Amino acid sequence: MSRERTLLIAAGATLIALIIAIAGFSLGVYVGVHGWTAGPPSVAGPGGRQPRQPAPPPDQDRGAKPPQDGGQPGPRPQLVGRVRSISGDSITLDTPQGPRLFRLSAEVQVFRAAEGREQPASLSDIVPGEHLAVFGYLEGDGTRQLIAERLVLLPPPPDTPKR
Amino acid sequence: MKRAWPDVVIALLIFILCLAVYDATLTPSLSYKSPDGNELATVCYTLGLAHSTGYPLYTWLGKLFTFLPIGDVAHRVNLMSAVLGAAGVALLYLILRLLTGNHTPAASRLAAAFGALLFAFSLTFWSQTGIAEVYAPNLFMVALTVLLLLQWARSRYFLWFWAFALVYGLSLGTHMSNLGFAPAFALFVLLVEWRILLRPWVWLGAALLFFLGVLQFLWLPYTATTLNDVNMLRHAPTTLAGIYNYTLGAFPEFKFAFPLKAIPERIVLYLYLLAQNFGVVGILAGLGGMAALLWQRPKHFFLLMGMYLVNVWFFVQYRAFDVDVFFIPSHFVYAIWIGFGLSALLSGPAALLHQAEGRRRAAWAGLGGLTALILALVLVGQVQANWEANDYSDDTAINDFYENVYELLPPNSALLGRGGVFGYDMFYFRLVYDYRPDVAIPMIDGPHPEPEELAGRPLYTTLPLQPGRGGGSPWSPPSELVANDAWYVPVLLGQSGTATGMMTRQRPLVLYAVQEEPPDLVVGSAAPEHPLGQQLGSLELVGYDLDDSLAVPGGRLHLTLYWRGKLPHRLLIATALGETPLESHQPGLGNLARYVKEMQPPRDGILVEDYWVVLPSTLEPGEYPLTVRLQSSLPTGAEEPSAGESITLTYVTIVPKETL
Repeated sequence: MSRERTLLIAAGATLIALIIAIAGFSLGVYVGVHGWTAGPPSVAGPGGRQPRQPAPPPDQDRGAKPPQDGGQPGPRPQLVGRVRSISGDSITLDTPQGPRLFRLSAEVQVFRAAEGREQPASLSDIVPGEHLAVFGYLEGDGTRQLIAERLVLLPPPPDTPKR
Repeated sequence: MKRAWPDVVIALLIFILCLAVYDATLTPSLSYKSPDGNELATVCYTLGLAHSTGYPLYTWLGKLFTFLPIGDVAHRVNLMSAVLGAAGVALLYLILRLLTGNHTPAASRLAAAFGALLFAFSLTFWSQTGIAEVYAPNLFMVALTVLLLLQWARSRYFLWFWAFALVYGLSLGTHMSNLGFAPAFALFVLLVEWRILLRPWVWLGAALLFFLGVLQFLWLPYTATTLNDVNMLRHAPTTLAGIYNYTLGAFPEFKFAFPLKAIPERIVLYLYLLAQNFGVVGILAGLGGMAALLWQRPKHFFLLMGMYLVNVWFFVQYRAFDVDVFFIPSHFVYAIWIGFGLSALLSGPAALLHQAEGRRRAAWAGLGGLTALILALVLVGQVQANWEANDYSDDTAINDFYENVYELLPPNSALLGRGGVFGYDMFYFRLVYDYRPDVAIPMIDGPHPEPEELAGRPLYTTLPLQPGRGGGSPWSPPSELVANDAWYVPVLLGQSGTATGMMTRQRPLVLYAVQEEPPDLVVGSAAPEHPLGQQLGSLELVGYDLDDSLAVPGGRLHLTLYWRGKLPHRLLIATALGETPLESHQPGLGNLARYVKEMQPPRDGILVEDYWVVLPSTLEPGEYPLTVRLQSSLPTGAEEPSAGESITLTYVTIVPKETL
């Protein structure tokens, strides 16, 4: 084997090892922060849109898809607040920053946080007064409207009477 | 590759197969699948200037495709993505054959075809072959660039090198990010033949040809006057600084947008996207191929690894909501690794087959056939898994809607809507087919039309404006064009109606009449042509009017619904023709709350919804029940007991277009 070839292979092998190490490190950090999660990270970072999903098999009813038991929320909610009003597929939250409006995506999943875990819940559980964490993405069409993909019903803060 | 013709034939077959699949899933015309697609389709026809980075080569190639006598102009530009995408896949096969030329021919061909087709039908790349977008044509240019470079490395014939340089320069006109491959190309050239530096006429000639390719960007100042987008005008390429900002300096807010702390998560995102395209097995196979390539062809390894790392490194830190498509070149490289690894793996047994005799030869041949079958099944699985997500062939919503908009608008009216890059769903019909020249479309010329342009014209819009805020985005018409207290009365509902969120993520297609007076939304009494008195949840459908029960695909129905009762909670009113949903809307078409507040109608009044609804052009001729039902406004299904109940109003006959 020529000296040049040996050098190239050694450098390349180091590069491959480095790539695998970086990928492994990143996965480790991700799992350490978020736990094992079925959901992908947000495409555009905080507030980003989820990547395209392959279509489900024809016999799978998208609308009836049950939320995954114990599914973890994404990195950080885009909004946390108390439900002020519900109108069509839009919900207004009272947040520390003021009222915020968001829309529901076609595949929104609802969970209820209880005893440190998340239990599947339904949209009908969302009523004015409930505390809600909203995970989603900002509409990429310039309107920057928040589209919710995952809602987590939170226990009321200790000093807030539930309405 | 001693004998080239079998590979040319196989590449041709791969091209035909891919083109057939891409054509079957092609968008018929305009679509919202890409945020820029409608603009790109129009600009190719008008030879205007596309959004940053200008895409001159794409525009010119697109213009050539607009001369094809197939479909409409947008369809032809969509077809360019299919044709060049399929051609890029065929080139990928040839690249793999060049790289695996020293493997057993049968194994090399099988693996090359598999790698190429696996990439062809991967989720992300396939998604770009059915729409007017730059990514499939760009992949063709990247593949051609790499193929020419490999040909030069194989033959050391300077004309291949010059061809490579010219094509590489031209490829910047399909995507500027290709410039990032320059260090990998330079390193490869030096590794293969560093003495090229001693022959200045070779590399100076190449540099000149590269520069000739880059000269296409003179197109930018030449066509800058055609810009109408608020953001693009801010960096109009009319000066050297403007050209820089429009090209290399474009979208600074997207580049390197993440802090170091966020990078692990971005890398995980990339890995997720990679797995989405090739699966975990594919990722592992690619790693194997990477190592095999390093061992067998270390110089080529550095070429591909350089391209791969630059693409992943740059776009992992790029903040775009459709970031998946930016990784297509790195997926392309990964497919090469998968193909190379497979070829290396199969070469051993294939060599044994070559040497074996008698029964042993038959056994090896059987094993080879089985391997080919398994690989074919993997590809069939890939096609099946990704077909539905990439099948845009029935996406006619924009064309159906705007064809009806331009028919419905009264003479000398004005039509408002989103402007700039996102306004081409509306502009296309005027700029390409000169629809309704009597109708003023103020946003077509720029983001700040003068209110005088609208004076005396009946005003319509596809985007309701909010007082002081316009439509809420930089591309919205200025709010001062319309009185603050104007009423936006839905006149025509397209396929997604007013129920945003109900039909995937499609933009609602609604034409509003802008008027000073409110519509007669709630009346004390009404006499519908067809009285019904049927209960639908908490509402009573008093009756309906329908102008005509005969219609054509892509036409429209004029419907008036009369309702009485308690408004349902979280429910929408939806209409359908047979199994085909037409639209869904909030009771009162979005104006009821304001109407009740300002007009204070009688509490037991009748709600009158009077509107046109667009019929999809995909409807087959026949007789269909026209139904009205209540539908949950929450997208996960029927949360309310009355959701899903429906009433059949009448039967509508759809006849072929030529009949009426």
